[in-house]
Amino acid sequence: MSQKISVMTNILEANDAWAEQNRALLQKKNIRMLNIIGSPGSGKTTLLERTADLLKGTVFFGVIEGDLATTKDAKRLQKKNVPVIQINTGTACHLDAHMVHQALQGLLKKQPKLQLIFVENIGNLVCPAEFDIGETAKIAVLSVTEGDDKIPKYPLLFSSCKALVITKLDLLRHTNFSVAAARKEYRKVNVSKKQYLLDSISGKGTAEWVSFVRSFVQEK
Amino acid sequence: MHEVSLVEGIIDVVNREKKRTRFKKVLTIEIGCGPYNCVSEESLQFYFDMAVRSTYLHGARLVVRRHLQQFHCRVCGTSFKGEIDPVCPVCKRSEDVDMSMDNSIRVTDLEVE
Repeated sequence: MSQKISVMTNILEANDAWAEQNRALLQKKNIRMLNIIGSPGSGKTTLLERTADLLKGTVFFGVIEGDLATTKDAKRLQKKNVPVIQINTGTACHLDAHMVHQALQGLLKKQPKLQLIFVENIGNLVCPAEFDIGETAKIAVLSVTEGDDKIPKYPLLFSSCKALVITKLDLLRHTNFSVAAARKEYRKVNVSKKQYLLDSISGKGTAEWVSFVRSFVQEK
Repeated sequence: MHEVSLVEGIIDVVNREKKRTRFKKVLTIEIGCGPYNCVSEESLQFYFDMAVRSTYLHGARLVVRRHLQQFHCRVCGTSFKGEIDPVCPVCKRSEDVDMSMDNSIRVTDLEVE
């Protein structure tokens, strides 16, 4: 005879426990952590390079880079004299809270005065949205070349992010991306509705984004 | 791909449950999540079957049940439940809707022998 047992246990309990540890550590040290999530090639690293230029000298910040392989992204940011820890996940499609915990310790050794950490997650709109790493907030990055239909297609990320950054604005005229359609879809799923349209290479629109980041660091 | 991590979590929960409630075999594992979670039943079952080959969990069936998400209309104040792309049942608007964020994925029930 079979019997039914009621369990109700979160299957990401182990991950979430590490995430809570990260959150407690960040809170104790008064550090903000932004979890940057977007597709491969959406311009996450280029956004961070430009952000680094604009934040330099005003905020102590560091970067945790997540990739399956290589230290290419970490090297790009090191050129900007930003303290960086690279995580290589090998085959995993997302960063988990334990990996970030270790990287966090390493980053704190490199820069004890940290106020802000950017975590560039693995390029992927699905899995990283599902795993809490203890971040203060998630930021979704979407490039105009990916299409405005990605927001309703990947609702978990776009509904749970604190802000949306639309990148590669200079390419807009070469695509059929509709900013109005993207805004409408984003408004449907996201409560904060904060969004930034920018081009990281020319710098257009990046001042608004950086001013958001600055006020985010100061937020109590 | 993140199904691998989810499967590890599921096996972990069932193993712990087995220590508390002694059972020999698991027939069904019910997973509960919201409409926004990236959980595919087929894909979960595929990785699960590979992971539990020649263990007591071999043959267990995974069932994913999606509960409805709780929404709140910012225009007329109605609270209602729905899936992705909600439309307020009262004022028929779809753009001014808040939702509660419970995105946890749980093992809700086990059918065991």
